[in-house]
Amino acid sequence: MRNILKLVVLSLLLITSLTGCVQTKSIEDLAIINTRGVDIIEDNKIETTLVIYKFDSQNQELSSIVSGEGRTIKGARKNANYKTSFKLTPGQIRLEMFGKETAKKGLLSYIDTQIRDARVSDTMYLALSETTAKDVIIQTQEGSSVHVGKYLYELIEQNVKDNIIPRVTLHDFLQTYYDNGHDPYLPVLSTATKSPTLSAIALFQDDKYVGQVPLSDALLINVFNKSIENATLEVQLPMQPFKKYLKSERLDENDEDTAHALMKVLRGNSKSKITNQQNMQFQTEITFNVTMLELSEEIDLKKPKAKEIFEEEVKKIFKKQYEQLFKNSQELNSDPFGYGTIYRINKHGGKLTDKEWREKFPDINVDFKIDFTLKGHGTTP
Amino acid sequence: MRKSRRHRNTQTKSIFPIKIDKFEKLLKDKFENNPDLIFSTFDIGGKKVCVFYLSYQVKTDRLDNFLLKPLLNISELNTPNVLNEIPIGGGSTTDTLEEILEDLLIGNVFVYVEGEDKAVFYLLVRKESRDLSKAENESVVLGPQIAFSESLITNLNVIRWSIRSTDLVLEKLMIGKRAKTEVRIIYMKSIVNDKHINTMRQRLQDLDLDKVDDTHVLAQLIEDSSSTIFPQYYLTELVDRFSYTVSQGRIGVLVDNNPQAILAPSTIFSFLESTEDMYMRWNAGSFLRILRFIAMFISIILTPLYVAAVTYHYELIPPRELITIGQSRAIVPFPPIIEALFLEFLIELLREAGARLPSKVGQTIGIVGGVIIGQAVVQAGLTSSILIIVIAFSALASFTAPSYEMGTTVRVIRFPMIILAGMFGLIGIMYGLCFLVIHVLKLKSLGEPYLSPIYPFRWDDLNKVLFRPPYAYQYKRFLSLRPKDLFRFKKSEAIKKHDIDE
Repeated sequence: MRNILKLVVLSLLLITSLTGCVQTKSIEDLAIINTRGVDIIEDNKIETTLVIYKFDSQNQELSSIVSGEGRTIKGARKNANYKTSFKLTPGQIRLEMFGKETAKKGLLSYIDTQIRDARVSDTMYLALSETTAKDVIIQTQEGSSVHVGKYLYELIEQNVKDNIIPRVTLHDFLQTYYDNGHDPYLPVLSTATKSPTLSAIALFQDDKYVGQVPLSDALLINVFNKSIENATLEVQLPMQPFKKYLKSERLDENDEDTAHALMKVLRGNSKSKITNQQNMQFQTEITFNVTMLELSEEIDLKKPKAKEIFEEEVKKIFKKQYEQLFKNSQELNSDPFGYGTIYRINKHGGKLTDKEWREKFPDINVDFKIDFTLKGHGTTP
Repeated sequence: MRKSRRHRNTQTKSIFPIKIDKFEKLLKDKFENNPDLIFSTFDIGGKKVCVFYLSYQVKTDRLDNFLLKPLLNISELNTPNVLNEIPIGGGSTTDTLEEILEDLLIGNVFVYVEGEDKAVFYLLVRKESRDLSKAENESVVLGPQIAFSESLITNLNVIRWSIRSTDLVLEKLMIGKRAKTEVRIIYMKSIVNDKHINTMRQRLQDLDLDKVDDTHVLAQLIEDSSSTIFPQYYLTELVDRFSYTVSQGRIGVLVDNNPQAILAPSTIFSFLESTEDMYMRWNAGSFLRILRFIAMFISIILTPLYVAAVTYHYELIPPRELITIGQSRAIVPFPPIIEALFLEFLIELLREAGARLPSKVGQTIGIVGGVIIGQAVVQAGLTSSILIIVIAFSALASFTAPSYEMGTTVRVIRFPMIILAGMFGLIGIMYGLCFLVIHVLKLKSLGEPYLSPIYPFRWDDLNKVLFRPPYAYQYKRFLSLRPKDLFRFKKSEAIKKHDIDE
């Protein structure tokens, strides 16, 4: 018994006297990086622009921006640390932004540190800037009173939640990157207007930026990744086929000959398969179940015939949009849809290198079949 | 009692017959400097008779009316005649000094006729006790409010009335070498596992101590592990809890002069269940029980988690909360561990002060503690406002335990956990939790695993500890205890409806 007591006392003594070994990271001593912008400046140096939170009892200013230069991301952070009295820590980074020029050279070497660091969240968002990341951050800071990091992060998060753009976390980027025959994409932020705006979707070849498609295509790409709900769709329809089904006689004949419809997607998903292995023939079935929210012209959708025509018209439009998007991506030779993955799965041996797919992708054919159903048109008289 | 008396008779020598003067001197010597022994000598019909007793242990009006008066009228005095003529039941005879002394103490009145070889005695005990009252420490909203009192006789009476069965055994044991205390082992003989009874009896009989002070002390004397912080027997003052537990096949132990009963074997879950779970409807009862489990977990884990997150793992804090926590931490000059220990200490001080103060002043503590100190501490920059909430939350959670001992245990466990969290972060918390789980796994209560039925796992018993099903599905007793009679009733009968209009 006495021996045990001795052991306990001794170990307690050791535990308390050896605790200097663990380094503490008390929250009040830290500058917590919220958003990081990465740009390449001359001489291949990296410039990072950091939006940080710091908790200072003397200073009410909660967030500030510091920047640093270096050869590596961590090196640049160290450099930035010379300019602040707090310890810069990356554990709470919510958004990492890259300049477009930087992205053209490939992103992987810059996000390498995020992959390695277990303290860094995999669910942080990645985004591109139309110009440089620094621009977007500085301009947002100057242009508005809102907190930059929070604003930019929530801007993307909100749109991801609404299914307007696909999810673009670090995890998603890496998954599509390492998936052979599937290329990543990121949203592009621009500061053309005063406040930062989502402007396009950037397509990548592996980790290199190759071009961008308009933001309206984001939803079309998103359907390939997941089953979407609650997104809104806006289409422009020709008026010609609906002339018979207008509720009221139009007063002036010179009215517009297009109608605009805004619909809510109740359910949208896609199913792709390979139909002909030799000719690289693919088929994608896209299903949209929607309900009408707003219609600019008084088309009487209660009539089954009108509804049918409406659905046919929308199908045509979607088919055209998809074909255009597909053509664009083929021209850029970037496959955000993941046809390569389907090809690989069906291929004998099941192996496909990125290089192989780069050669094949511009030559594949996809037959888009759109299944569009108007489930509800709201209450109409 | 009779058995033990006969047993003793064979060993000691009779002191009778004896002269009354000599006898008086003998007794007075034994009760040296003790004025309470009343020794009166009468001369009736030429024969000397003495009556002696301890004045305050005896009901004097009964003594006067039913013993002395008839005694003086007896024509021919001898032992059989005394036994015959005196109108009090339960008269016995004895002839050894040890027995006389022992029985004097518990309120017997002795009559000795000079020259006879036996003394007659009657039990005219006067025992003062408080009336039965409401439970103070285990307060309940629903169900019977009555609690045990200090008098064993009253308690036995109450138990007999609540379990009216010939199955109920109230085994008597006398414990203590120097001062004996009556202890009763109470169980249902057709249900209880004999192993438990034998273990309990053997543990009580083997006790070699001068005097039993209190039920809590007795419980600690017969527990399985003395080094642990966890209580191993549930101590209750509620009669309904006692009778429910005993009727389900466990053992109750009552100690004279103590308003608490030991319930054994108890598992860790016994300390988290209240009789109210039974009285509530099953869904509400289950909710309350699960609430208590969560509360215990929160109580142990929440403050350490705060300390760990703020000291080491800032990544864990949700972004929106980060700013609030960060800003409130910025004004505090101490590291989080000191801050947390300081506030926990303050809460414990408040609790202890509240328990010690007379109830008239007790309210002040609530006001001082809750309102003034809470506000002032934050404004003085000694702790962050978030921590106040965290500490209050976990303190409140620890008070939900129906057992005061368990609540205290949980609060004490929190301190090492906070220190571990402050020194090693989440790893420390994990280490502490693993240690706790391993420790609890090894514990036993009256030889039964403390964590049963989780370990060893018994599917059938889960509905008695983790939640509470409707009564039709509680047709089995606690399987882990292996009672003699497992089934309370037939399930098929229980779920049958037997309404008149069907």
